[in-house]
Amino acid sequence: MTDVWARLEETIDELSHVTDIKSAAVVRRDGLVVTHTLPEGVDPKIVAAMTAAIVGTSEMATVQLAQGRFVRAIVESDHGKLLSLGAGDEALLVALVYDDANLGLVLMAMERAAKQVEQILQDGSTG
Amino acid sequence: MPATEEGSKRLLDFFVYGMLRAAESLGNPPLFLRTVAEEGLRKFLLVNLPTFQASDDATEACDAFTKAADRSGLFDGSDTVFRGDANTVHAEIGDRCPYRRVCTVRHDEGRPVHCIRTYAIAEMLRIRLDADFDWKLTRFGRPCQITIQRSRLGRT
Repeated sequence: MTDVWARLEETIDELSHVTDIKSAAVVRRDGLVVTHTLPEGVDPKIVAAMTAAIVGTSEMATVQLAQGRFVRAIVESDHGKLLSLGAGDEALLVALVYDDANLGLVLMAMERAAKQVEQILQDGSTG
Repeated sequence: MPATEEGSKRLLDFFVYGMLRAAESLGNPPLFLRTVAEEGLRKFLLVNLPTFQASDDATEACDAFTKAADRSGLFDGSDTVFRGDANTVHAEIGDRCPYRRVCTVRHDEGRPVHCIRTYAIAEMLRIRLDADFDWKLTRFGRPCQITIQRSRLGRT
């Protein structure tokens, strides 16, 4: 097990224990899974590819509409929400949350985790 | 089907150029192109290269894959060279690459060059070695130079 991967797993595990977050994942921007806590029955490969597609398209939309920098994507549905945001140049962070979740708290936790992921990746590339 | 080899090449250029532009317009070219390579390669490996066996050594696997694709008639891999070890591969792809004309057009247009050959190689490594690889086109030219490395984001 690589050190970078183990630290990412620790970060995602911690994020998954935040109240209102069902599960979470770190994925690469090209749509490959790095680590996740997604439940049985959910295909992490599909979640990773869809997240990368959602973020890529959203970033393109913000550029085309001259809306500045992309911050995050939120997909709301009957049974919950899917939140995704960038975590450095290489990775994305995605979380599945309950439909009545306190989004403010969840987003704070996600932004903190995204910064941790970015730092881990920077440490990994220099060390 | 086109009547000549040159016609086939032009048709390939047409499709690849369009695919690259579509990939960019959707906002995530690496995702789009990696998925195209993955979906195509699984079938291609099964149908066209049923006897291809990849070594656990990434450099050997790249070399064997290119030679097998060459033998199958997909492209001329005789000016493609791989050096390196089990985890890092330095590739040089020469003039006979079937995608060179499209890459040159894109380069001349000032657009990013997305190496289709390397997308396919990286996916082959992922499928056959069960490991993620990162790669970078370090030089577009004659030859193109590419570095492929086992991803540090991988589990192993």
